[in-house]
Amino acid sequence: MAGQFERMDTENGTGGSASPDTFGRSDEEAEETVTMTPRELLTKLHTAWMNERLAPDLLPPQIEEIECMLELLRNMEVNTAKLEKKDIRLGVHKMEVDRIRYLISSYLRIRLAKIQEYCWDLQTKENTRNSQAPSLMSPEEQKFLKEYIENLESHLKNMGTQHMPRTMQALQPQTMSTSSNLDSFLFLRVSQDSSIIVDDADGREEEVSLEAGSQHIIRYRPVAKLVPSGSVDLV
Amino acid sequence: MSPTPEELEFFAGQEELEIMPRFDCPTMWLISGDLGPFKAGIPNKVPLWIALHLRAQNKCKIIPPPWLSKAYLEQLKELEIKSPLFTKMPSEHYMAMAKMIFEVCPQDIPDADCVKLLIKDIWDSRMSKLRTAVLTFIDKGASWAKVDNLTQLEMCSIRPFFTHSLEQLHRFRKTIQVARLYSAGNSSEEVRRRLRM
Amino acid sequence: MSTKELRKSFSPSYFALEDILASQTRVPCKTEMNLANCGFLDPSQENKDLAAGTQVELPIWAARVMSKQKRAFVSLRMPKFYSESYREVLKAEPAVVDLNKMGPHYYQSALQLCTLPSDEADKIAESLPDILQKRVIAMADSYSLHRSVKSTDDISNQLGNSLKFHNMDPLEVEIFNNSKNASEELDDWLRS
Repeated sequence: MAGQFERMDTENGTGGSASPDTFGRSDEEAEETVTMTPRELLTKLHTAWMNERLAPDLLPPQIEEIECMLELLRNMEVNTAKLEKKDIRLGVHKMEVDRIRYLISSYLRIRLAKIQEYCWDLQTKENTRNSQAPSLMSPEEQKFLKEYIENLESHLKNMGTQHMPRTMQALQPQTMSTSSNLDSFLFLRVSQDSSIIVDDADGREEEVSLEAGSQHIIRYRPVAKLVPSGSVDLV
Repeated sequence: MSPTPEELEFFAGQEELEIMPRFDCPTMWLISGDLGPFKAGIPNKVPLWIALHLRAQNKCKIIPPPWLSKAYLEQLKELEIKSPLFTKMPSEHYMAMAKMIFEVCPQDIPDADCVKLLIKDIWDSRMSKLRTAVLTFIDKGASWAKVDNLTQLEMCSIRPFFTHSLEQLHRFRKTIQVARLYSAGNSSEEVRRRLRM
Repeated sequence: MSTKELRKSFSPSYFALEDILASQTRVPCKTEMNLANCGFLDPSQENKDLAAGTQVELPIWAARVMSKQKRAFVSLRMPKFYSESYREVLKAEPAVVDLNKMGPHYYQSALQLCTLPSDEADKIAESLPDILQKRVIAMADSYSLHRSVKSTDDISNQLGNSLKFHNMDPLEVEIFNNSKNASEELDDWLRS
């Protein structure tokens, strides 16, 4: 049949769930390649989207995962171009690609909204970060942040401060910056048994054990460090 | 920060269910997994979003999941009403799935009207439990709680009221500490430093 | 790409208008010393200077600067709506009181007043959480009511115990509106 859709080979780095070694991702700390199927990658991106959507602060970026997925999408588009227009699979493949693109662009958009909102705070964190520690932003996001702050400060100067007395013209990012509200309350689902200390507003502390499979409503601050590691997921 | 119902619908689309295809097709190698091969008349498992896509083109019939039936839901409703806690739902996305299936192909569900009503009753029962639980939580001034078996859409129904109220109450309670530190003669830098979290 | 997507609850910040407006709340002060060239602070008198012992009302932001402990130019009391007698009323029946009458930004001003040097600061801070708690509980039933109802006043006539809309402080209004919008969004989606 003309335009027969063939299963993509593993060299292209794409394929169905039956081929596990479809691509690798290096894990910097362990210095070994972590492989996952495209299906697992997609699930990871779903979790990343939900966490980013719900977390008050900016989470570590899933840059490698997104790049891998974009590569998969590109290959998929190349392959589906070979299908006949009437082929039932064409519609399904196209829809899947659209869905994944939507997920990725929505994820990036959420991050950009946070970067804009907390711009000065993020810049301070970025400037004071240890060069060994990973950045909270991708290189493109860092560039965006820099340009955004430049534009914003220049706008504020042109619109406002240049018309003020000379001694008051300086912008003070430390006072203007807002940091994310780590005391937001949110729901979470526990994937790995963990234990945290919850302090309430009166200063009393309580140890809470989080069992795998349970769901809780809690302030973000005590569980913040459990989110990037995957011990808890926000719902 | 809360996902909208439409966004939750997107995630609900990932749930799998069976279809009765009216077409033949070799295996589809999707990123999210392989599907098929499809042969007309032989049931096959696919994600909901594909099922609805194909159904809308009349390329298949949807086989309702076992829980989307009058008998199952009647039992579930009884359990839910009797229990003071939230019962485990057959699917995290039960409400969204039911809504999407009813939108596209109610005719594929036997006793559709009855099923619809049962789902609504279960939803209402859980909502009313939820509302009471929320008010009790606020009243007690608790700082965390276990909420097993609650689904995401139900959580959305009480966000942002619940979360915003709790945040403001926390902010007010924290201010008491702030006021005490100021009264004791601390400067604002000192107060900020002491409360630095 | 709007930051509205973040949908956070109100928190004070440099650019927050509510914060800026709340700091305008007037605080009764008394000058502790002669203040040269400060006659403009008291519009009712014509002197260039402000004599010691003059009663003058200053906004919170000015009172804070003028009452710093090392060089207290003024001493201050809390505004009358935050006094003990008013606090007792609020403690007794929090959900009934019209907070708008007590000042356009009751909560937000209170949070700022707590950081001023005054004996009452602690007590004001301590009174706030209970007030908000009871009022929020009273608000709970009204935001999810059907949209065909024109106002919560109609509902409270029926329910008898919910928080009337025009009694709400701006902070409560924000919680209410956000909740109402989210509830309507969900309803729309369920019905579609």
